[in-house]
Amino acid sequence: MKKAFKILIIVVCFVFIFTNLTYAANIGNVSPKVDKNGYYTITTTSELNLTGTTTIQLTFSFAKDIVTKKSLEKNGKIVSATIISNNNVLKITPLKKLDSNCTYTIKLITKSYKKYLINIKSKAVVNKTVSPTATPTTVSPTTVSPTTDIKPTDSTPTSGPTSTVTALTQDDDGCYILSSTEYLNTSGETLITLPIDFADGTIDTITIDKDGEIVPADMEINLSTLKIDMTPYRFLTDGGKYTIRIFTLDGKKYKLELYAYNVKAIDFTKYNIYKIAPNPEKGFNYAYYLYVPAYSNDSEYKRLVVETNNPGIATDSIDYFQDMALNTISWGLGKFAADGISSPLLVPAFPRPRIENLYTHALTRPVMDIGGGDMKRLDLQLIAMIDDAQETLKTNGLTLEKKVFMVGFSASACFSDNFIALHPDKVKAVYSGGFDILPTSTYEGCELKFPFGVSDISKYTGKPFDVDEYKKVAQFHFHGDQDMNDLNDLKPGIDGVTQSDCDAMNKIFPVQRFPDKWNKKQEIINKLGFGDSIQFHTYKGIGHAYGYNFFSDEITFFRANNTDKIVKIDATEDAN
Amino acid sequence: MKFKNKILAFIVITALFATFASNTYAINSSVVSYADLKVTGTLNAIGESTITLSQNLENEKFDAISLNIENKIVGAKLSISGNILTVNPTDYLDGDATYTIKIITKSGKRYSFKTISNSISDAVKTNYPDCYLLEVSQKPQKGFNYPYFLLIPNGITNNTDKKYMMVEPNNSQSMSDSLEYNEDEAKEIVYAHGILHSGAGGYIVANNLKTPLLVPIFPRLSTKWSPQTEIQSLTRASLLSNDPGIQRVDLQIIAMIKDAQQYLNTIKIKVEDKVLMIGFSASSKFTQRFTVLHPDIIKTLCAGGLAGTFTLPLKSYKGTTLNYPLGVNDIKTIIGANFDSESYKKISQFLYMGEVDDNDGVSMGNITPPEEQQTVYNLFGQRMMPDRWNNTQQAIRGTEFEKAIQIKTYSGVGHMVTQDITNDMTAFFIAHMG
Repeated sequence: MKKAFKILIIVVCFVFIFTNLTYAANIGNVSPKVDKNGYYTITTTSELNLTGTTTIQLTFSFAKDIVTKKSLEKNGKIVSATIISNNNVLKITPLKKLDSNCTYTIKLITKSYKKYLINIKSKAVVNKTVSPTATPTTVSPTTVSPTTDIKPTDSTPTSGPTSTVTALTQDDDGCYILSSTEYLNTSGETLITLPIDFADGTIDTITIDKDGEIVPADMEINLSTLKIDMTPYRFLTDGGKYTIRIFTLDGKKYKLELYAYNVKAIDFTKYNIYKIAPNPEKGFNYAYYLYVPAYSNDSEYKRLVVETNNPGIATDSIDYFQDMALNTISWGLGKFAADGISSPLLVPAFPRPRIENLYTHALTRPVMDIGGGDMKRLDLQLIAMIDDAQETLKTNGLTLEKKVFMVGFSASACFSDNFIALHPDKVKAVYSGGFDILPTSTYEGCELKFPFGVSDISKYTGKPFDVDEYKKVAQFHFHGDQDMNDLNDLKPGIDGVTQSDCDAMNKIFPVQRFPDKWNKKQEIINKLGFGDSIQFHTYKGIGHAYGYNFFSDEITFFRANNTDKIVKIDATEDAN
Repeated sequence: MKFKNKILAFIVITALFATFASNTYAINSSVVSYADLKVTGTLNAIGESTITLSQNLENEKFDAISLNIENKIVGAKLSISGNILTVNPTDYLDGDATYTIKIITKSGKRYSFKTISNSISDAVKTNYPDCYLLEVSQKPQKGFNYPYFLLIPNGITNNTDKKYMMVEPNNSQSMSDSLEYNEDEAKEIVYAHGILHSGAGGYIVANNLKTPLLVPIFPRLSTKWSPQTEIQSLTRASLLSNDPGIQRVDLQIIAMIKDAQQYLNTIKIKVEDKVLMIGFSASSKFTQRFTVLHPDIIKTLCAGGLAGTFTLPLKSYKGTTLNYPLGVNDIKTIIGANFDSESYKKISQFLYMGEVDDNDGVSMGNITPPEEQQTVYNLFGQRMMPDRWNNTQQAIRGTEFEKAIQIKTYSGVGHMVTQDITNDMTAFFIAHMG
């Protein structure tokens, strides 16, 4: 019995020895140890065919430890190729012709996460033609970036992945420091090219934080591309510093610090639309869009056009107003004006929640009276956006005049006209469809409170109505002759209208409809002495909609009123 | 020591050494190991989740806390307080999908756990005494890329009659890529405001019938605005779209239906395989067109505000070929199968128009492309009411399809769903429940 037991032990031991040493023996031409990056190096005398399939016989077999990830690389960059591995045979078929007489690297990762690296030369071409990899004498050292460092005359095989890996420094926490000159977009997707590759199956997880706080973002790494998706409606902070931390399955940590920007560098040869993230610290709680026409930096008219948003519906979704602002900036009245004078355009994405009598887009009294929360003082938020946009443009080489051009229609005309009464010093000229706020505190014995008049405007501005500044604003107000959509169909309780507002309006405008009310307004303006700066116009053949001729008239109007002089234009009679 | 024993000892030692040596090679490229964390609580696909960890990690400082699915990191706010992990994803997670939460401490300890996301949220709290509203997140692996609402009227289990789930496709007044907006609009349809908004009155009728109501949250995309994105009207272009999100919404709604039916089954609400469909305006187009694509799954249809015309179960009319969505000539191109007229004939249909309805979807270029417009004008008339409406009805008169289709015109009614209409629809569904 004892003897049998001893024999059993011997047999078991031999089995152990045999399988393990056979394993070791199977590794054959494989280096016994891994390099700094965890790769076993396999040497081979085979050469890669420039086209077609190359078959390489290995001196060992992967057997059950099958290859799960494979890649062909040259100087750290992936070269498209199909690689098939089966036991001890590797077949490589590149998609495009390979460069001749170069060193390529095949990288393999097996099921058990063993990593192999094969350095293999591509075949030399028989007819000696000047290879593109010959030393270019005209390349200046400064144009070669560190990650694509090409040594044209050096064909010694590299022993690992990109040679820059060995240059990574570590911080006190043992984190490898990655660096990049790229930046994050404040919304939507950003693709960052990392200075090193992370092969499939090596990433453990990734985080992004600002000042130690996790920032929610969808992220993914494919080799050297890091994709960060904020979604279009969530934002990073402009100018904020973010740290991306990459954790790999071999226990290493990497960190990359990047800044986020709304706009980094404007290419004035292109038409650009930028989405600017909300910036409560700068005074605006909603996003805005900024349209920068091509060559606007060369324009004769360096003045921001502003058109507030008015998609016409109320919804509790904030995201909606961003999409609609993009629509407006892409094809509204403002866009045509901006193109016509080759100057940037700003469209805010102000909300309009499903709350009765809170018509934010018309800047009504209840809206101005909002005492707290994100929607407080949308007029001041618009000013903050204007300042921000002008600052951004200035940083990028385009300095604009301080005063803006405004465009409005229907509710957004209410907004622009009310805005001008509140902040006349901010606006140079306005082209708006409609006119409601009268630049007076009383008329015909009736007190006119905001937004019917300016008797109580100091409660918002802290000072009395600035008549002088108001007279400096060139105003063009129009109305379609078939437009019956009079927003001042007044009822107490609707949009903050009081009984005394109604009484005043009914007294001053006995007939509340077009053309009577429109004509009376002109009369009032002239009587009050504002006739020089305010032009009224009726377009023929149009209801509550845009006419084709509006676009040319607004451009003519703005071009004529870019200086201190106020000019009345010869507007088109017909709307179309 | 005896020589034999020395040999034995030598062999054993060599064996151990060999094993050890070969393992050493493995160590250099080994994978970090995670401690599997036991947890209680579920990861919700919609809204916040609170998960209790089996370990109190209060005194740890964290290098990373992340939410992962396959090789992707999912945007979420994650925080640990004591042994409570709170997760707030930015967007809805896929429902019934396996997510992994990873925790890496500064001291190098790693913890992880896998969890299957809970697709059902009753966070859509309603104060309505007559129903219970759920939201179910998207399940791409099950065939639908968008969430849906499921409304369950109270007292449903008291009624033991045969029940068919009702389906009302959503109709967003305006357009936006954002789920938030389209969900906001769908919510208006699914409870209370259906009639006053752009809904078909499904909320009211489903409550009358004491049957569940499914409202999908399909988007009406704004940034790629074209006939292809008018999925809420089930336009031809939208069904042929290659956009991965909005592809084949007819199949997506079927997947939602099946998913909802499975869920109802688990809470002991038995519904038949076929569904009731209800639509108005854009959703009248969706439902009415759906009947020719998948007639086998519809029991009864009520649709109104149809722009004075409807999809005919005919390949041609008066010598004009009728391709989808005007007719069924080329259904095979759209769904890969021929028109199933036998199943279609079994559907009871109530189609209605308001006498003074002036909302003409046929004249809207984005919803009705020029070629379709022209065909409709030529065959049925440019004037919607009463011409086009009367002429379209004429097309099915005397055919085998006429019997199952009931038409009504409501005098003095414009483009809206009135109480008379919801009463009539309720009665129609009940009459054809057998």
